[in-house]
Amino acid sequence: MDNHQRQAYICGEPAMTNSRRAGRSIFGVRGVSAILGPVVFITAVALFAAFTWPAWELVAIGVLGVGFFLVGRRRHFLNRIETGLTDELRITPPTGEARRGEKIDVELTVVDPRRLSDVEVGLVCTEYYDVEVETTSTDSQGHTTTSSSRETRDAIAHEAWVPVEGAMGVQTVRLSIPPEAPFSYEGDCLSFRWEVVARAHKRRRLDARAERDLSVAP
Amino acid sequence: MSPRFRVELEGERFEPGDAVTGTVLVLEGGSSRNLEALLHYNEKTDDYSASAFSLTSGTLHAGDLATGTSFEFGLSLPADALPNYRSEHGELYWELDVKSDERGLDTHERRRIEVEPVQHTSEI
Repeated sequence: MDNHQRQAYICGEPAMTNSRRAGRSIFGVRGVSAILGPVVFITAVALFAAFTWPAWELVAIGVLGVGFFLVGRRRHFLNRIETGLTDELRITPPTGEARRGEKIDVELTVVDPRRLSDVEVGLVCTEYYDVEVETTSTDSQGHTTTSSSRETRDAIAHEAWVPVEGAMGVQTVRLSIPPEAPFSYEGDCLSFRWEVVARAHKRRRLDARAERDLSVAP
Repeated sequence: MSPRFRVELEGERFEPGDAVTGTVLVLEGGSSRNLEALLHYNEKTDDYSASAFSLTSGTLHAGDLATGTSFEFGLSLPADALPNYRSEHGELYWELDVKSDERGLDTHERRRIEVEPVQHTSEI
């Protein structure tokens, strides 16, 4: 009956938040590619200026550098699509366990406000529940077979959003957990997962989003 | 022949740490190997259910049950017991289960109980 043990559970999936963020390190493959590209290019230009290398060598090195850069950007872009998480916003929930009926202070850091608008911080509780799904299939000889399987679905059990300033820096946002809302729970066929989330529209880009798990006690 | 019971509870609403006490009245006697009372914390959706936590009173009576006999029981809710909760797609609830262990199908007399959260007023 320990809520702390339930905190990281996400209905049969591993806790995604940490692993998602682990892949975003500047020391990862994308970071190395993104940094290596310009470094190679600038080094080549410097060498050319110093020793007046033949032009075809400069072009080759330049193409190589641009290639590294594009690969890095492409991987970065794909990762954003996959996770929905971005670098412009960071969110820090209070340490320890929150309780229903309480107000909590969440720390929002706007790292890069360029292109951001409609910045919001919210509390989201997702309900995960198992259902039996029947599937009917017909083979080439016209025989119909019905099979059933267990499927986990999710629905928003509670969400509330507060608009905040989109200025760069750290700000504290106070959020309320309704007393009648669910509490954090990890079960076999029913679970409730709480998150604090920051989101913002981003002009001509995918929306910015940051999220962290929150443990809510009854 | 399976026995038949009625459960009389002292109280309907409880808080974590409370004692759940009551009496099992045997309305119709019958064959039994063992009689016990259990508390379950259950989870339920439209299609599935599971018991997340259980505790037992231990044996209230061993052997066949005679009509008109009664047995008192007492079970303590854990201090960190979670409360009942009903959502749009599921439910978490406490249930008292008086169980007669028999050859073949066991006999159960089940009763839901309401466990409310402890009231807190502090902020974090």
